[in-house]
Amino acid sequence: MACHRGWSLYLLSLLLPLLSPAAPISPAEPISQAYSLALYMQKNTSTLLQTYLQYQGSPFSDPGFSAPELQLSSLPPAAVSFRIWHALDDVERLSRGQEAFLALSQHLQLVGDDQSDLNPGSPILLAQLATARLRAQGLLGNMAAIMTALGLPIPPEEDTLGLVPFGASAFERKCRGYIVTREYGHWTDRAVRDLALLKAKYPA
Amino acid sequence: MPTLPAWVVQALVIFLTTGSTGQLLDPCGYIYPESPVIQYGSNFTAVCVLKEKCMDNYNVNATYIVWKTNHVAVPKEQYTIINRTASSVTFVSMAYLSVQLTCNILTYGQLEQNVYGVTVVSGFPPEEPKNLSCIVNEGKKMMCQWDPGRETYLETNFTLKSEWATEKFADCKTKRGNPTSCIVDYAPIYFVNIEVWVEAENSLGKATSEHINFDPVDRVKPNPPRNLSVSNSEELSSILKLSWINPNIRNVIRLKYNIQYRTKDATAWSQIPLEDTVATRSSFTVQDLNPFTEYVFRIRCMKEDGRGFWSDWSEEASGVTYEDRPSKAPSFWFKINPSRTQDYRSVQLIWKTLPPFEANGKILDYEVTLRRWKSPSQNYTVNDTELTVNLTNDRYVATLAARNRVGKSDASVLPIPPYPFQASQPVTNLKAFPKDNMLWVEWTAPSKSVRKYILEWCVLSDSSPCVPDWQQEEGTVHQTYLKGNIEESRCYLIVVTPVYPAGPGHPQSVKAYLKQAAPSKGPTVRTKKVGKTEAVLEWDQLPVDVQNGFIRNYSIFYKTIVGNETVVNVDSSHTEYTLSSLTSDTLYMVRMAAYTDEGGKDGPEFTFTTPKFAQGEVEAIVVPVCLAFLLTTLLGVLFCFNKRHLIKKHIWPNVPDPSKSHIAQWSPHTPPRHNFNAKDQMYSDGNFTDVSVVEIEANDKKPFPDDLKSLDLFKKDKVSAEGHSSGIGGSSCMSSSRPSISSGDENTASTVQYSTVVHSGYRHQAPSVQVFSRSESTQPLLDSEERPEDAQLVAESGDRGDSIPPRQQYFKQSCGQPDTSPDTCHFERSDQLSCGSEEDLVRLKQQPGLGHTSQPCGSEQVKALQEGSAADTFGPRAEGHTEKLETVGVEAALDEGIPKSYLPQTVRQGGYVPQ
Repeated sequence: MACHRGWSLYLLSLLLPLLSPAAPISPAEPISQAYSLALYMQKNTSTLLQTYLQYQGSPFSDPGFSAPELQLSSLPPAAVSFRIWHALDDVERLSRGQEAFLALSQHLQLVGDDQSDLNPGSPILLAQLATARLRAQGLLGNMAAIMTALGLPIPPEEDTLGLVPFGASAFERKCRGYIVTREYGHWTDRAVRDLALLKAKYPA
Repeated sequence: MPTLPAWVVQALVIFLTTGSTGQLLDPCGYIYPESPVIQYGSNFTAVCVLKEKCMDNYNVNATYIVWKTNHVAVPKEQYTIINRTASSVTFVSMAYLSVQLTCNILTYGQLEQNVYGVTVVSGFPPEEPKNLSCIVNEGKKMMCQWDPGRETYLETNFTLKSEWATEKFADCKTKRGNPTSCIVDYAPIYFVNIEVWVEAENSLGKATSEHINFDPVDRVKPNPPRNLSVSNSEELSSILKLSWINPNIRNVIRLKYNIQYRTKDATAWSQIPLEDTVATRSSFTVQDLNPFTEYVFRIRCMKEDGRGFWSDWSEEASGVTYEDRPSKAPSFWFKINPSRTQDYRSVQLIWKTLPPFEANGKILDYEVTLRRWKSPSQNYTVNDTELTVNLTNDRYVATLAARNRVGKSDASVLPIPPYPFQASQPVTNLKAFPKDNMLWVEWTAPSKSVRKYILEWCVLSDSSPCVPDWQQEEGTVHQTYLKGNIEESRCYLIVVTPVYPAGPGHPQSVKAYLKQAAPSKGPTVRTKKVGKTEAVLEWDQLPVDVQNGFIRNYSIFYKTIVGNETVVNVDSSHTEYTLSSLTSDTLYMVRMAAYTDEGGKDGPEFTFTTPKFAQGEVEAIVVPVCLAFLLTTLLGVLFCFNKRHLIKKHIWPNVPDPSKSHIAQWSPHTPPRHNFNAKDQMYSDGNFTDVSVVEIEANDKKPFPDDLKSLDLFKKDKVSAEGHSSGIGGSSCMSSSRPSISSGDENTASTVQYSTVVHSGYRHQAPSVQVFSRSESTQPLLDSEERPEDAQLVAESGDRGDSIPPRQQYFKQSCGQPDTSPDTCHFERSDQLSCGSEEDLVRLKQQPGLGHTSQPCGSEQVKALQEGSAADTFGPRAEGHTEKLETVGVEAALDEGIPKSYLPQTVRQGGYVPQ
């Protein structure tokens, strides 16, 4: 897991400030846009997971496959206790979300690469993975725009993925993809809640 | 890298320089820059550098270089010799888009040798692309388009660039042939703003459009809703329910809709208010529709907030609203058929089918009731739109209702008047006029309340009968248009009848055209009468079928062959016109045009010629002339008839027949026999050799001189009288008609004397010089011979007079005049007598007072005759005459011995002067 995705982070760090001047004074619009995107993503996350599992063969494609215990150290878990989540302020929520979707976009890129290796003849899955990555990237941008609109400091970029074990087995890669697509859904759900809260706070 | 044209030029140069050897040779030099692209209109300099080897071969240097553009030598002024091997050429403001520039050397013998060539291309740098816009068709990738700006004339590449704050997307290169739009190759990510711009680039520069930043979800054009369906409701005949399936974009965005509908036959769409369809939905109920009507619907959608684009229209779907009871009673009218009996009449009830929007369903049948006062009503159920019933002459009330599946219409009530019935109260001010391509009828309502109006109309035509169509209007209406197929250029007769509760009023009619046109035929003009200076033209009214409008007036065009055309306008009520001031004996061409409000049409040309003379003019001239001629002729004939004996004498002179001579018959006892002296003398000169001369002695000589004197006086009075005594004896007859005395003896110069009276003196006295000698003419003798009948006649007349017929007969013969008129001479044939003396005698007779003074010139005989024929007139004086004549006769007898000459003898002037 040593794949270096520094270019995208670098790009992000470069481009995010550029949005600041164009950002509206009212944060309602970026919040609304981000919320719409999150909602839209939410409708597709389960499809993505199902499509992914379907292409991975047994046991992944088996009906009712679930492995909630599998986790990736490089990917922050979306699960959080309601008390903790509720206690978070806007900045923390947005920061956690940003962090997570930055990691997710990197991981989705990784999974996409893995799948184009493992399932080269599955353009639907590859397209969905690419789209999911782009959406994660987009939500990241929207969140940055919200922070800019709110006048919050944008947290520094991190190479969350770190070293990528290129020698991972196909099964490991499939497992990794499963975790990423699953967590993508979880984080999307959490983002919808985060943004709904924020949207309520900053009505249009 | 050389461009293709430059390559071609180089190949050409190689071919030229290799010559017939076919050996590939290096070019003699090069042009720099090798493939220039310059801005149109800018300055440009090229340099040609010759190779040393070549210069040696051809023994040339840079001064021998000749520049050419498109094979035309460039003026030397534009050259610059840089050094021995290089020459440059400068163009100011290059105005060619593409020009072939060649460098040539002028070798021995002024032969031009091509060294090198390049193609200079000019154009413009790209302008900044404008009006960049993007659209995301649902299910497809984003497409952006822009306005490329001015033509560059150069190959220009457009690149669509797009990026996120966090992501840069792949460039979108335009396809050749479509440089103004590009479809990105990634799926659109909604709810993330994207920045898009266009870069245009060519050899001369690069330009970038302004950047646009948008959320692709705001550029979405959804797919149209699918599976649109329409259903009706039995409960409500005015609604239809639409349902459809939303496009998939519904998962991403909320939608609003636009629903349109129309009746099946209409072309214009009605729209459901957009406010009613602003939220996402999949069904909608359309209200306020007409019953039993087929409607067509369509729907489209777009993002709820209006950002983005409307989808295309869905496929159309149609549905029919449920039936409802007819909303209106049918139009109802009646006709009374001509066949009627004493007690019954045949009445045809007619009605109109309801239009669909009033029928509100399929009309199953009609219910007709007829009710007479206090009688039970008769009911009929009719499928047709007419019903013929026999009614008594009473007043009836008919009602009509249309029925469909749902219910019955209101009843239409029609009073049928009794018979006889005096209709009254017509509408007034009835007018018909076209407006908006319809024929409108307008009237003033009568003072009485009108239940309804019936309008009937038909086309007036000579070729087809008037088949009336009709329509009904409410009693409150006073203006409507004819709801039927009204044709242009046809004359419509429109009849408006008000219907009162008691019955129909008096109908009023008007004629109208929907649109007039010029007549299709012109009137045929002809002449009714043509006079010398005027012509009465007449024509027939145009048949209504060719009028095509109301004939407003006629124009009559007439002209002579050479003259200008004259136009006369005539009111349309005329069918006759009199052209006046025409020239006589001239050919006129005349034609007529009839004009409606929309134009005119010429009729055929008619020619006529005015006569030389007016009617009756010829007659006025000819008739009097003829009459005059006739009269003249008649007079002439009468005259000649009157004088035919003279004519005869002239043409067929009487030749006395000696065999009929009756000289022996004379009676010596009668006084007139003395006359025979003269006769005897005459005949003695002629053939009558046997004639004995009887000398008659005058009893009384004394008065004679007086007589002569008076005669002479009388003669003198008549000097001016027409003298016709000249000529031979016979001819004098012509002049004898004039009872004047010719003094033939006085006009000795011009007249021939027939005879000379030779006075032998009074008895026993010395004979005077006066001699009455006989004329040499023998004509009278012939005449008397020829006219024995006349002699007989005279004899008869003589018998009446006295007892001397034998003597008279001769004289009568000689006179040849059976006329008993005393005015004419009875003794013309006495050839001794000059005509003048005859006239004298006549005169004497007319003036009886002078009778006794008559000359001795044969007057004796005259007197003798007169004694016979006119003795009563003259009375006793005649006796005296006789005596004197006798004396003359004696003298004549005395002269017998004097040599006679046939030549006329001239008497001295004053020969007749009284001796």
